Order: sequence, then structure tokens, then C-alpha cells
Amino acid sequence: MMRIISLFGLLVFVLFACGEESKTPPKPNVYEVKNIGLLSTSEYTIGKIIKLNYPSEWYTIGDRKLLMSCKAKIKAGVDLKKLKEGDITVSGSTITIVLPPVEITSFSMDPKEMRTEMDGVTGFRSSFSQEEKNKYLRQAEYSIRKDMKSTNILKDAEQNAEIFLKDFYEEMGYEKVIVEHSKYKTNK
Amino acid sequence: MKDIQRLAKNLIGLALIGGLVFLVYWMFFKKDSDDYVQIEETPIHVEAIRAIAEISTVNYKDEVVMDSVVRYTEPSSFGWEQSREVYDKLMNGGIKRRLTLIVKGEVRFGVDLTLMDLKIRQTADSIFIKLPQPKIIDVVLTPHRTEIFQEIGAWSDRERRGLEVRAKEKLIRNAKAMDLNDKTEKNMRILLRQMIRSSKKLIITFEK
Repeated sequence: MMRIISLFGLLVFVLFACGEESKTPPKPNVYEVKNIGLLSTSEYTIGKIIKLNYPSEWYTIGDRKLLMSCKAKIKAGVDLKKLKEGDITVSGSTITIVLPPVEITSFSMDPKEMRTEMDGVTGFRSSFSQEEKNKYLRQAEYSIRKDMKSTNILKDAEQNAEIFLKDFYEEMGYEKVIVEHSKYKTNK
Repeated sequence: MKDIQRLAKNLIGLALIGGLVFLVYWMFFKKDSDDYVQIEETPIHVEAIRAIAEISTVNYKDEVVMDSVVRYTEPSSFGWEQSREVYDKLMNGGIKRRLTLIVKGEVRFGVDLTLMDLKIRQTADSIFIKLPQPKIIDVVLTPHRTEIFQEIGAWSDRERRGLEVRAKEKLIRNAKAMDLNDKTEKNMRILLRQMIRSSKKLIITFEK
């Protein structure tokens, strides 16, 4: 009997002690510097509420609910590096520029703007880890990227690019500035 | 023969106890973290719209590792409830909690012309353009490019956010250490020369 109790004790010790071993952090990868030429002309700040009601199984006791909020700052404009020979033509005091299609130039989610609004864990359920929360934030990021197509960001960027370039070339002394757009893809 | 029977009984008993403990752990204490769990569909809301005019000419991409470690400070007394602590002190270098993030991000340098504060002056044979000083236009960070490399113990949002903010600051520091303003100016000159088709000499300067 004593042997069983000792073995049971050992088992409990192992169970309590088992857990993740600490790992040595990896070395970061090498940096990269790239030449770009992005003209961003429209900026949208988009907010999203992350709602999660964790599914329960028959044997689980308690609930896990999570409500988080996050914001994304999205910029759109044109990649001036995509301007080809012949896209800019000058005839007297008239300049014609055919712009590449507008696109999303920057998408960023500031960590300061991501917060847990409500975290409801009851019964024997485990609390939400930061790894889980990051997973849900990734889903929210994907959802924002998908839903932002329904906003006017690309259309605004196109109009603002036209206004900017007209002002710019008029400052340069051109009397007539014609800005033409290549059509952007809506599935971008 | 009796000994073998007793050993077999003990082993079966032990296996049953082990199985029972595992079943209780799996049903009630196992971490709920399944990949299939999806957030509910909620609409996005546009909070602000701004017309801007920013030209970015240099993109710096980097990866930083942020590690936060909390160690046991007080000596522990031995007991079943301290077994985790004893184990950590013996096998885990005394680490109580640890959070390691790998943050990949981009820092973009360029010129902000939102206020159209560029000065253009022309003479018979030259065009002079004075642009604002190059600066950091964007710091691009997303959850998709943030990896929780390891998480031991419970970490609050505030602590995690603190690490991410420090990662962002480190990215900016690394980018500034590269002294990319000269490269930004050089690329800006190349870009404007492509956009301005003129027989006149183009002289581009930057505010200091």
C-alpha cells in the first residue's frame, strides 16, 4: 500500500512539475534596405471589435468569452516606381501623366491600439494566453484587410493623387495638367 | 508466482490511477487552444479619413526579439504545491515567467508633402525645388508579423503591449542607426527627376 501511495505521490509531483521548458530566444534575421517610390495620398483609420465565444464541449465546466478592440491605419496611393517610359508626356505647356493603379501602400496595427475590453473565464476553463490573443488579432487583421475593399480608400487615393499632381505640376509652371489613371483591381 | 501476480496487480492499479489523473487533467485543466476557433464576424468602422501626400523612398525591414523574464526571488519550502517552483529552480534556471516575442516590421523614410510645403523657383536655365526634411513616414507592425515565440506563466495585456512598444522603439532605433536620410534624399532626387521632364537643370535641396 505504501508503495502505491509513494508512486501516486511521485506521479502528482511529475504532473505538477510538468510544463514548458524555457527556450533560448532566437537570433533575429538580417535587416533589409530597399529603394521604393510610394506616393500615399489617402489614410484611413479603421476600428474593429473582436468578439469570441469559445465553443464548449459536453465535459467542459464554465465559459470563455473575449472582447477585444483594435485599430488599423491604412494608407493608399500609387507606386511611382511603376511609372514607365512614355507615361509622362509634355506638349508645350501641357503635361499628361498616366498613373499606375492605386494600391494599398501601408497597413499597420499599432500595439497601443489593441486592448482587451472584456475577458470572461469561468469554471475550470483556462484563461486566455497572449498567444491565443495574438491569434485572434491575426484573424481580425485578415478580416480588416478583406472588409476594407468595401470602403472608398482606393477611390479617395485616386482623387487625392490627381489633386496633388495637378498642384505639383502647376507649381512647376504647366498650364494644363492631365492625369489619367490605370484602373485599380478591386480584389486588391 | 505470487510475486508476479502482486506486481501485475500493482502495475494495473498504477496504470488506472495514471489514466484517471490524465483524464481529469485533459477534461478540466488542459489549455483551451484549438486552431479551429474563429472570431465572430463583426463590421469594421471607419474612424478617420485623411488626405495626405507622403512620398516614401526607402524601406527598412528588420526583425527584433524581445525577451522578458521574471525569476523566483524567495527561497521555496518543499511541498507538493511548490513542486513546479522546485522543478523550475532545478531545471529551468529559476525562471518563473517568460515572454519572448519576435517582431518583424518595416520603417519607411520619406518626405511629407501633406501641407504642400515645397518651394519651387525657376530661372531661365534652372529649376530649384526645396523639400521638407526627410523623416520616418511609417512604422509598419501587424499581429501577423508578430510571433509569440514562448509564453511561460501568465502575462497581462499591459506587459505584452509594453514589450511590443519597446520592439517598435528598437526597430526605429535600428533604422535611425543606419543613417538612411542621405539615401532617402538621393532616391527622392532620382524619383523627381523621372517625374519632371524639363530641359532645365534641376536642383533639389532639403530643409535642414
